[in-house]
Amino acid sequence: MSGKSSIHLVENALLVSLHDDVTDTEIMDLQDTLSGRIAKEDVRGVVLDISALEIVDTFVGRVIAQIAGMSRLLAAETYVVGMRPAVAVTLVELGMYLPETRTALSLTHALSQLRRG
Amino acid sequence: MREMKSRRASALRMTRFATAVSEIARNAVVHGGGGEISVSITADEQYLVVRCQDHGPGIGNLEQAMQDGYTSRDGLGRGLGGAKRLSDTFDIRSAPGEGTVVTMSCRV
Amino acid sequence: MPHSSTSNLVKILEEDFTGIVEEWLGTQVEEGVKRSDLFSDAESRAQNAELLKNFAAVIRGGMVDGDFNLDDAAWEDLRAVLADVTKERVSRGVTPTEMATFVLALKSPLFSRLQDKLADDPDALIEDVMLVTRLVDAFAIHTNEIFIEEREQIIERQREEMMELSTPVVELWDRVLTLPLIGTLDSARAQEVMENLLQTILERQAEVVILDITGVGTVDTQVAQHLLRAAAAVRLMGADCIISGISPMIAQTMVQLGIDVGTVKTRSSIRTALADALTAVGYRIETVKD
Repeated sequence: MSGKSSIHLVENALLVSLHDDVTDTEIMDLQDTLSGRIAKEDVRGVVLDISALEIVDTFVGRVIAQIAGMSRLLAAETYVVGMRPAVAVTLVELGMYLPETRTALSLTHALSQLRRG
Repeated sequence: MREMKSRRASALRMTRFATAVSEIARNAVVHGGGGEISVSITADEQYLVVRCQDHGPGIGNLEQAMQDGYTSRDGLGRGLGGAKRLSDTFDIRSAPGEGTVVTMSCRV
Repeated sequence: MPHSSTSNLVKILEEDFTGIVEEWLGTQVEEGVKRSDLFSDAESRAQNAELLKNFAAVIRGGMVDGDFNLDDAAWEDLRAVLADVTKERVSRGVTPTEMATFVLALKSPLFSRLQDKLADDPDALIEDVMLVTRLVDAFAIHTNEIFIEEREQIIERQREEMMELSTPVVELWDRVLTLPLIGTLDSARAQEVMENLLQTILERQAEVVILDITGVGTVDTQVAQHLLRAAAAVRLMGADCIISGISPMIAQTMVQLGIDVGTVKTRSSIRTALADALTAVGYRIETVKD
């Protein structure tokens, strides 16, 4: 399951896949790279695929919120997709509802919502 | 996490507790300048116990620190209270200048 | 002489096995514990005979110096038969008192026979009576333990069944789920409900979830909290959540309690919620006949 986290351009969105043991430094580097690419490639959306993540703590939650905030400033909507049920329950219990982000079941769902605008 | 998996704990229990441990470990690194973490199982094999100790500045007002929304830095301030909610037992001891010890457990 | 005690008892059982079984049954009738409504005569007779047969076997082979320990390997068969009989009776609704009296009723036929046999030897008689008392009492206690264990298992099983029954996630249409909540919603149940619901969202790739609270009696701050958290978790998974079945009464209470549902969609009936859900996934309900 392990591998590098990656950023790919899919239609008019950047797909960010986080791998299962992403480190703090890696995720912060990713945030930097991402902001550059949103501006350069003029995308409408950012799709964060977190289906590989077994744990999302407040730090990772905060980074996700920051990515969403930053993307919005650059005119792109952020979708979180593929969140595991246990992760969703845990985040709610931590009080992190991620109101800054949109959510979708999968990349396909996020892309079709982006197409609809 | 691996231990819990081998004991067939539910995905939810595992995720909850692993997240709690992650919060506490991160606190120790960010605020306590690093520390030691130990994992054990109670004699009756009912609980997985994690003890995390740092030698940082310690926490002056524990009650305040445990409340949601409290943060000493740029956090959202949900770490400590959240970790407590996600564990079956949670004990925190700290005093200014003496570091912090958190002992938490989860039924397996 | 402990040895002679056992031999007297063994002899009695050998000489008049059927007689003892019959009298045991008779005593049960007298004591009013023979449940002819639950067991036929033949069944009762067979059960009693089976028990007594095992009883005789352990008295022959399971006594050490005239003493016994129910936990010994030699008593395993008898324990098993006692367990079977007890479980059978629990499942048919026999009460603990009836169960204990059923076992204790064995004393009387054994006593009367020992009395006949040992009329000239009061010391031996007392010794034997004491032995029989200890044996039969031990059986009764053992039976009682099994009885309680069995009851507890039934309660646990029913509790689990109730949990499952009360949280059925129903697929109303493609990509539309509903969870009709009934009764009270405490923390343990809320947790269970949420886990179950989120898992189903994942499996069915559901896009809309209707949490219907028509069957929930009262909504206090706690219940509202659970509902809103469930709705938040559903949203994090990437599905829409509608809470339906909010009666005017409940709406009033919620306002009075200062409960803010935020951005969570709420509807008064599951009917309107379903119409919304179908629209969201791209269907329309149409009248085809007027």
